[in-house]
Amino acid sequence: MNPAIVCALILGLAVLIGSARYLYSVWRSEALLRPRAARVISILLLQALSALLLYLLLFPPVSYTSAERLVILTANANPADNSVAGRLLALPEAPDNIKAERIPDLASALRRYPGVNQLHIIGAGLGTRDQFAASGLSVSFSPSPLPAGIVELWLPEKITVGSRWQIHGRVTQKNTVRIELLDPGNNLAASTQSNTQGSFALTDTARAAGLAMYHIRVIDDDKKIIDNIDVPIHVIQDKSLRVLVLSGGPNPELKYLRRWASDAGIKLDSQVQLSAGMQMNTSVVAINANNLRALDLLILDERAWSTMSRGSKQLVIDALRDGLGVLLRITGPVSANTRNELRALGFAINDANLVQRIHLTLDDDKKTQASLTRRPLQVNSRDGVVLFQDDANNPLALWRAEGRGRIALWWLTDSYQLVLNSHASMHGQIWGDAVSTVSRPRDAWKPTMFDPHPRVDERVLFCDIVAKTYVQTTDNSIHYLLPEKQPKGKNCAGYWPQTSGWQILISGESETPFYVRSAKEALGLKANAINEATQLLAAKHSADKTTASIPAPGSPWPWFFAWLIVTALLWCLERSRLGIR
Amino acid sequence: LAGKLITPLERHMNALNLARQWQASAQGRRRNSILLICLPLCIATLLIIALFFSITLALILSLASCIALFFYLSHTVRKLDSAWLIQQLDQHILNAEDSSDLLFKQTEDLSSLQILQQQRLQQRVTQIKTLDLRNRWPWRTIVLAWCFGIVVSALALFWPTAKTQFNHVLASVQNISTTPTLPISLTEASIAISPPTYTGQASHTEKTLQVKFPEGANLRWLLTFKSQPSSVDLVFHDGQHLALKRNGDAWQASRTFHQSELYRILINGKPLAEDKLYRLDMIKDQPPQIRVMQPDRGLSIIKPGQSTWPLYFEADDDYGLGAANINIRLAQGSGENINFKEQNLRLAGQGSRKQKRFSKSLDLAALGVGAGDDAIVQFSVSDTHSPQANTTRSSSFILRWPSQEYTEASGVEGAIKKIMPAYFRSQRQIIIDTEKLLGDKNTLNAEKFAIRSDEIGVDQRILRLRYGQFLGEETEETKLPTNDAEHESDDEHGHAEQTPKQDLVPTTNERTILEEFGHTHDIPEAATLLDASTKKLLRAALNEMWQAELYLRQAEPKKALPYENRALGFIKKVQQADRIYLARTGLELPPIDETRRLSGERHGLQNPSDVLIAAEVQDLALITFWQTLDGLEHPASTKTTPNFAALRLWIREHNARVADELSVLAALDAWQRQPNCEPCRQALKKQLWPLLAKPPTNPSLRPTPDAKGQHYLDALRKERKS
Repeated sequence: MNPAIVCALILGLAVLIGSARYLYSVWRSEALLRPRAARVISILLLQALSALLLYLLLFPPVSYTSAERLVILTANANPADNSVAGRLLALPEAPDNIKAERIPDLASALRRYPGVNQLHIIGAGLGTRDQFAASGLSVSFSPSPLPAGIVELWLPEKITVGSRWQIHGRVTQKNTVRIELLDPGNNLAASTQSNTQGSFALTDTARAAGLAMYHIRVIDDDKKIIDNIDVPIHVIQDKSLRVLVLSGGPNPELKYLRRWASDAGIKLDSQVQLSAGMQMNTSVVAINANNLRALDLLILDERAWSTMSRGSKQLVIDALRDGLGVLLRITGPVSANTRNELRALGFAINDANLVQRIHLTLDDDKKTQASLTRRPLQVNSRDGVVLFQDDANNPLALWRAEGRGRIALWWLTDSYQLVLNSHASMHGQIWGDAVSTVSRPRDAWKPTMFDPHPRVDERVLFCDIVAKTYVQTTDNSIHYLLPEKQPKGKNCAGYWPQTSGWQILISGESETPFYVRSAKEALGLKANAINEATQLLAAKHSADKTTASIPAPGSPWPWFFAWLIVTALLWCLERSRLGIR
Repeated sequence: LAGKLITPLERHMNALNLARQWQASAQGRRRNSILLICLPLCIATLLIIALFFSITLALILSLASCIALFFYLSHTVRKLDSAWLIQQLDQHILNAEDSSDLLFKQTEDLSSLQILQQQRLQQRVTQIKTLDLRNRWPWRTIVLAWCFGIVVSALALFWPTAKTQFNHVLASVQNISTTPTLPISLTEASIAISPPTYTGQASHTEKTLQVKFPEGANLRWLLTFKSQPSSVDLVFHDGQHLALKRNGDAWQASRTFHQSELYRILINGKPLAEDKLYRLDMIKDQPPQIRVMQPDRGLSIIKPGQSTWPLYFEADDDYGLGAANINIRLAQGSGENINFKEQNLRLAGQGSRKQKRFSKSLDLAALGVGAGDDAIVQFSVSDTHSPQANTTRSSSFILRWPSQEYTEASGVEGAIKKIMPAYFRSQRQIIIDTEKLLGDKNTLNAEKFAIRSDEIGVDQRILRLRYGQFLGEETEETKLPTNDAEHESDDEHGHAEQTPKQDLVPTTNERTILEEFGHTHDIPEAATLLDASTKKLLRAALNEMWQAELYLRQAEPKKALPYENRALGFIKKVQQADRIYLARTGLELPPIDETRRLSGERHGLQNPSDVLIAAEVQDLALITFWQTLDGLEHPASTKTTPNFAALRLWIREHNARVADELSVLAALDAWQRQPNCEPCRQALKKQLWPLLAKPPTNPSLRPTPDAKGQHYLDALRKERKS
């Protein structure tokens, strides 16, 4: 129920009760003192009129005014650029020397000048404070140029220990500039050249879990540092996965796979068939529903698969649909029976006349010296996703979702050659990716943070938080957040950081560190964010509304005076003895 | 009577003094009452200021209020002046007759009537003696003020936020009280460096506390202080103490150092006001450097008519060069019959102490170098480092006098340098041994004879394998006798001879495995090293060796001897064709039980154990420290105090990986002392980062889909089913 209706009801009720009371008193009064009908009627009418006017005073009716356009000057604005007619207003960020009416924010301006349906923004753009106020209006934007240097920076969402992570970014320079990544020890970790769009990507390997501060600097042709930006990196040590490896026979691939897995902190069990009845086991894990439920990933080769009993296979498939990850390595010829079973799992395998020697792309430019071998197979899957591929973009492994779990098919037979050719990190990387992609989903729920680069005194939005959530800063002060229950069921809360540096969001069990930049650093990122948000507003509402008049909230003042006069009249009438016999 | 004895002047003075006394006590009463009222109010106000604003402000204000109070007091007290006293006397002395003012006037200025009246007054005043002109104590105000003061002070002290402030104030107050009146500060500091005598460097003194010194130098500290402390110590980063001794005004101590150190100065057991770590950087004594000018290549071939071999090299060292030697080895003979002669020549060089040139011309005839011989020289130079001199050896240089029969194959230089000679018996030695065994046949019993024969067979086998490497072993399987044949012919002699050897001597099948998986193919160039004709010769030699081995194993050395001789002949021919360099022995696998091979016998088989051990994380101390370092960054995580001792131990153990150990230790020390110092922590992180190794790629956990996502996956599966 909206306030207007509530108000109307209360006023109506008040008028009814007042009138009834008055009529009752008139009826009960002695005949000689009974007022005349004219008096009674005018008091009743005036009473009703007063209530009506009070209502109109509180909720003045919408008036139609002619549409107006505001020209808003923001940071870096140059009013000389303005070619659009309209009322010139300047936000606080606008340069000091501008001769325009100053407004504290856009919402205030819109209240001050009702009837505005068009905005023209000049300069850097509208900050988060003003974006909401501008929504629903027709916005046009003439942006000022972005500052030189880095304007976009995309950090990986999650970096685990030892993984190779990549930062993507963009600089404003269109000519190629040198971009360097410095590690926390101030040594060069990677360097690259920006391309013609200004984009770049830098890679490094994560070390021990914890927080680390990298730096990126942009160097132009004259060896001058154009821009310098901090890159906060949070390396996570995830809980270890439980993996079971089944193999039809020992081979070097298995040896290096097991070596990597046990070094990478995976809880690994393996069972390798040696001959009939002979096995080399780390521990005996029987294939049953309970054991499979405890597993995160089952890696097996086609020999192990074909020697499995029908019941075991069904157990594995059931477990797969319940979330288990299965990775099937094809190391030799595949029997017709296995082909049929795999077809039922969504993979169609056909022998093909393919070159078995392949190379992998190591970094952006070099190829591995090691030539690897794949099975000459053509694998088709309707909903298969490429797990990884060779340098000619031929898939070497595919995965697909089956129920809640994922199953992958892998037909590269000698990834161990990478280790022998001193690309052990590459070996770890492809297997790490595979295991991360296919294994059972186990990552705990985490709050989401919407701003990739939080900044002092600017709102950060956290969602999916629990009721008792707080942010802890370096100086040990605690800021509790007030979650707002949104209609979509996402618990979100806003946070305005007061200090820069690492801070940590603690929501229930989860701890998410995030880095707050100070107001002065990475200005390019901020300028670009504002610019893009304003462009988005402009794109959303570019359809020009040409209506001559638009509704605007009416002024309450006329109604106030009318109400005052009527009420005064009523008061006088009640006081006077006019119309009383 | 008494009145008569007192002169008028005395009486005047007495009366005046009495009046003044009364005035003074009244003034005292007023002053005290004001003080009693102001004191609690002042204390309360100052306490509030000290607790909630700053202690310095409070101190300043208290000083200001003291001054203000002083002026106020003197002002109010001054109000009780003579006029007031006259008024009071007029009031209090009943017969003063409103003429008390006459008391304070000089007799000379008065009329006679006035003098009379003055005298009367004086008499009266002296008669009164005690007159209380004091105001009463303002008890109510005093009590009120004290109550108010106490309540306010208590509130201020027990106000929740004041707690820390209060401690702070207490601490600062204590600091003030404990700080000595004269802070002990360093006025002069110097370190005298006496390098070890062998360096030839003069002792010198540096007026700093951070020095660089040569290895093994003696450092002598000389410190003087403004006021004399009771003890001065130097504490090094590894925890060692060095106490300084007082000598007059100066404090001294000395010690010899063989490694870089960090230290701080402790005075009376406490660090200096400016608590700083000082670096002592050791300059390591570098071993001498040798540059060989002549010969200019590793392998030189003798020139026709050459009778001398000129050698020339230069050496330098950071402090001084000691003895220089040339080691000359003469390799004579060919093939497997090579004799070595070795001699050392001491050289005297020319030039300065630090840099010398050495030259020597070897007389080839005097050395005894002939055709087919190699002369190998190696230069070594020592420095003067004591107690143990650093010695540097150059690489070896060969002068070859080629034998006339063959020409040197190109590209062998590399092989010569890389491959070490193998130590095994030569074919000639085997022949000698066999002949000796045959000679001893009469003195030995059959069993011993067989064993010795078998031993020679083993030698023969090893030699055959060595030579076989050069053929890539293709020949063996086709032509050579099998193990079964050996067994068959062995029947007469029984198994006794064979069985004890089984551990030692791998049998044929195992040998093939060894050849297939072992080291044979580890030398890929081996098969292509020789030309076809040499290979043919070598193969023939191997065949002869096979036969010889067979008969030696069967304890028939007499039958083996011709084969051995023929093998030697072939090898001689091979040697004429080329020189052969052999690699060391490779791995030896355990023997296979041949009796069970391919028999299908499964009795006693058991699953082999599979012990897969994850790589040991050696950097655990470092990684844990790194994480606790971060743990302070997110304070909510379970706080563990950083283990400084473990990290120090790790740094000591892994100092080869730490480029600048002292910097790391200094950063560590700085942060340990000031755990709240953010720049110190950042500096430490910067120092520790390069030490962190890159771990193997860990997989990350796959994010769990939310309820909606799971419904989607389930629905997808149902869709597929139907």
